[in-house]
Amino acid sequence: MAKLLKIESPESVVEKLTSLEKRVIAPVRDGKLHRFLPVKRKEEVDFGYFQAEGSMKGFFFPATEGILKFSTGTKMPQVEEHEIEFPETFVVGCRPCDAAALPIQDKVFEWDYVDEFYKARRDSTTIVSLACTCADNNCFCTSMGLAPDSPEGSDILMVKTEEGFLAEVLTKKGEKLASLLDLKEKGSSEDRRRSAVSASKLITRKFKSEGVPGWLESNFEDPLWEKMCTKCIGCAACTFVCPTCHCFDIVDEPVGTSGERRKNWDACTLWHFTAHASGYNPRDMQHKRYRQRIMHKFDYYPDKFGKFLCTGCGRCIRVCPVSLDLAEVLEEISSRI
Amino acid sequence: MSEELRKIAKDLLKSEKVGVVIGYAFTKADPKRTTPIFVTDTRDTDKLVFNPLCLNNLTVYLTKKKPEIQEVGRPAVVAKGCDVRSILGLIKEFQFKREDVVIIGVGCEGVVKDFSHWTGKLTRENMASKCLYCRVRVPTTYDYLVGEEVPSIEEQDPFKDVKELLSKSVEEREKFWKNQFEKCIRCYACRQVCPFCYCHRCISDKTMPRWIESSAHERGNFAWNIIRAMHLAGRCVGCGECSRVCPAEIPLDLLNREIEREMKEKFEYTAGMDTETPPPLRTYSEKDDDSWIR
Ligand code: SF4
Ligand code: SF4
Ligand code: SF4
Ligand code: SF4
Ligand code: SF4
Repeated sequence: MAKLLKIESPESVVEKLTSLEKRVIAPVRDGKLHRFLPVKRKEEVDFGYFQAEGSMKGFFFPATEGILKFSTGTKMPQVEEHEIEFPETFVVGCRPCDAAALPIQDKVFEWDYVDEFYKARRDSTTIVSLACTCADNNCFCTSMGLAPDSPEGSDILMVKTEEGFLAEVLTKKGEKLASLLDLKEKGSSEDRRRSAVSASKLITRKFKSEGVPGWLESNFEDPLWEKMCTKCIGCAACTFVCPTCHCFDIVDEPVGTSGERRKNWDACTLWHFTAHASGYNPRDMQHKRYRQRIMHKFDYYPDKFGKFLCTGCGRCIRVCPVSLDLAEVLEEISSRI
Repeated sequence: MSEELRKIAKDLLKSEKVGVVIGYAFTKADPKRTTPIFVTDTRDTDKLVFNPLCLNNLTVYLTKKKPEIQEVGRPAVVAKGCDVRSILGLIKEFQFKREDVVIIGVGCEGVVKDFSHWTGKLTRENMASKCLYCRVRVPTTYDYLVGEEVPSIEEQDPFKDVKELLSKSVEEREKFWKNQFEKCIRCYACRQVCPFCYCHRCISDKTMPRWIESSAHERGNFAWNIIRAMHLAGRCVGCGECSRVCPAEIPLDLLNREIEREMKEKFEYTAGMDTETPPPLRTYSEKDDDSWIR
């Protein structure tokens, strides 16, 4: 059972941490959208947000990241390790669906081969999430086994209740932060219980997801794919904004005779993801590429790690240029089980 | 209006004049959001709608990016005036012939900026900026026309924001674009949604040699965004899809429209207005300004 403590407000956490000159990442309003950005003062932050456009995965797994430097100017090619600093960092006020994406990503990046860049960032970061008080038609976290106030992936979960804010301290990192913030007063579990009830009512979009992997396994060639997914235009918007997608490509980018080897986001929805050097592409149509996205998230990954590769954050639905609704595809599958 | 549209679609399919009608339908989950739909069965024509939430430029599905759609048979496409401009542009670029597509033109009072702005009523405030200076509210070319009566609107200068930006110093402009491009995640939604980005292999996907760095960093993003705009010079018809879909909300249309302004000024040319006028970047004329060759 997690420890329940009273906390003044999410802003107070930013204020304290920034006054101690800690690196804080929080939602910032940037034009019409919110982005997670490093902040220096609590005034920069806007916790009255619904959801940030891009997830915070870029802080652990950046869109582009140098992994080594090389030069070919001399007789022998020279290779140099990439020095990266991993300062102690606090993410404050991310949504529970974003926090929940981290343990899902951990399984991939710390599985047989440990991605040291990812791991170092994860180890030096404390996650202080903020339970949702609003949701839209595209949120479906409860169908993914989560909730607008689920603790997965958070070190501390902040919850707005009738009486103020509560901090659910969940891990060692969370405890360390609680003592840094000087949180002492106990919170009421009754208050927390009531907040959980109202949180569960936020999500209206619900479907049964248990049978989905089984259906996927035996319906790879179903006409559903062509019917529902031909409209996909093959960009990477859905995968890049997705907090759980984790594919990358490695490229060498020289300027003259020296350069950097970089690890860049990649996506199965792009045509060249599986294009062979011969010109042959086993996923020759867009619906087959989109099918891969669903197969990986709701069959292959769960088969290996026992969870869906999706938190139901709804970003992919909101961002899609052609309104291809991932939840609608799942609902259709669910209705056939 | 939707009724009329459905009837035309039904007749077209029934008489086998077309194999598929590309149009708009509401999404299942959201009555305030539309999505492209490919109707091949007359029973599905009831799903077709047209209203200010029909944002997509569906003509992207007529290009060679989507051979699977044309395989179904000759397509009919529901097209607003601005979308028809891209059809004319594609014909001019020999992508298909006029008779290869049935245009169901729709008279258009404008569309919303994006779905989240919809309040049930179209206003100057929630309207896409392209609609504030649109001259093709009734399409110039069509086989069928639905809704020819369109209320007129007080027209705005199409290059207002472009000129505002141009009035700033080079340093300020550089800073502006640096801040914008810094947000680019290289998802290529802007490219994929564009009817004129139909190259089988985009220059940004080429690796031998690599012309454009694929990394989402300053150099790569500048190269990508500028080249994208340059490749659309004299071709972009200003449907605004690139800006609409950019997840980073980069005002990509500003770049395109500056090029459009120059094309107009220097060559008296506006893309997508007909299929005859020779496109300046593909045409040699003795009158061309060559003072810059030294
Ligand atoms: S697949 Fe969509 S809903 Fe699921 S985590 Fe990714 S962006 Fe969110
Ligand atoms: S869904 Fe596609 S892009 Fe996302 S992790 Fe799986 S294979 Fe990669
Ligand atoms: S589903 Fe939408 S966002 Fe994803 S690749 Fe297809 S068109 Fe792009
Ligand atoms: S630009 Fe014109 S035709 Fe296009 S959506 Fe706006 S008003 Fe309609
Ligand atoms: S849509 Fe926006 S973020 Fe994506 S590649 Fe284009 S400019 Fe970059």
